[in-house]
Amino acid sequence: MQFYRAELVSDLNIPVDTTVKLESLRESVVPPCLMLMPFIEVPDEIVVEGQEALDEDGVHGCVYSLRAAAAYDGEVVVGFRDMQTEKITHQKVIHITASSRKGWGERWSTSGSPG
Amino acid sequence: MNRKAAEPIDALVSQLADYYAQGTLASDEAAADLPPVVDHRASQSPVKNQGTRGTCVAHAAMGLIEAFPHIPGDLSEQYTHYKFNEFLHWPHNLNQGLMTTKAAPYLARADGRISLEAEWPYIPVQATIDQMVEMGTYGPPPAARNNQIYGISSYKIITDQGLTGESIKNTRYLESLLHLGYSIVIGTWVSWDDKDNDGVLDPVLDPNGNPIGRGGHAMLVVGYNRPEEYLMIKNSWAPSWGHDGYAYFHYDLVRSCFKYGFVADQVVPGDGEPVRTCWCKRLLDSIRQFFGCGGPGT
Repeated sequence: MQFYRAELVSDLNIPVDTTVKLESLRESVVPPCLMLMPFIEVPDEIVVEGQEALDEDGVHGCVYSLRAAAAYDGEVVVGFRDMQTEKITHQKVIHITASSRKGWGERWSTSGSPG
Repeated sequence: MNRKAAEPIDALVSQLADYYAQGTLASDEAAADLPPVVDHRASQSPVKNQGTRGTCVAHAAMGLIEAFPHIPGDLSEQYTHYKFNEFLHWPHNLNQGLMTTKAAPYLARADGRISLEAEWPYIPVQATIDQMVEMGTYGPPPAARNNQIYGISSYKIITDQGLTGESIKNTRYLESLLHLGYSIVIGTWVSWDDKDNDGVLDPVLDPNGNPIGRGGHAMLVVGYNRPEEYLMIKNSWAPSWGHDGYAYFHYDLVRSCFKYGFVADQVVPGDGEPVRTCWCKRLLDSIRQFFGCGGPGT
């Protein structure tokens, strides 16, 4: 399964009916960023199938499993909210393309994962 | 429990098994002969500042080693974190943190030895490191590479076994270890209201009693105050944070948020061993490690 780090990518290409892992942004656990909750905003065509916490101490973050349920060309947003103030503290917009074109997945997968 | 030549820890602490076997919520009548307060802060190295990087595990682990009287009080967290990334086959500049309990076996490896801070000073800003990597100038200076000396030779991992027995959530077990002179590196969920950091910190929990904060952080437990029900914990967020850089964690925070930890029974070099290793010993250690024969930490 392809693995991407949100802080390193600005474009994601996912063949329809394929699942990829996307690591959220990462923030060090130091004041004032002590109680942050990662979030992701996706359109209906992209399904968040799971969310796993990072094993590591020292950083906030998680890994999402994303599946493209239908063709789509647009954006997803990842970031953090402060759990006490509910305010967004960090965010990044990632362009996402979900395509059902035959052969697209093979071409895409050989382009390598930044992670 | 995972152990590595740590029988002395078990032999010692088992003398207090009657005390900690009852668990953290037992009444105080069975307080054995443990003093009400144990405070090892006077024997700690100065509180440091990890800056904006996720290097709490390196800081907590170095704090543990530096607390041994014969070890210098300023080891290189910079080199420690660099080695953690190397052992995980991660890019050297990745700001990814580390599962706290992995630090013990890493620092027990023959190639896991650390130099003095002066030989590779800490870089508090991640962007500086990223820039150095881009320029191809990031890595341990020769002085640090030639003086990889300090590490752990014997440790015990403490897992979450609930509120009784040898568990990281059992304050009676932690008190027993502290009473015997150990300091404890812990990994905890950060789920407290930090504006209260100059008091005793309570947990912030959801209606089911689980921590709301899901960021992990490593620190060093160095004392307890049983009448007031808190642990004294050395942090790495500068001396201006908390009680001169230390946190007071209420036992409820320990019971709900501690994940795991470890203690070290022996460090490298041992007390009385020569501090400097000669080039031939380092070469011998490398050859042993290459052929899988084990070094001093295996």
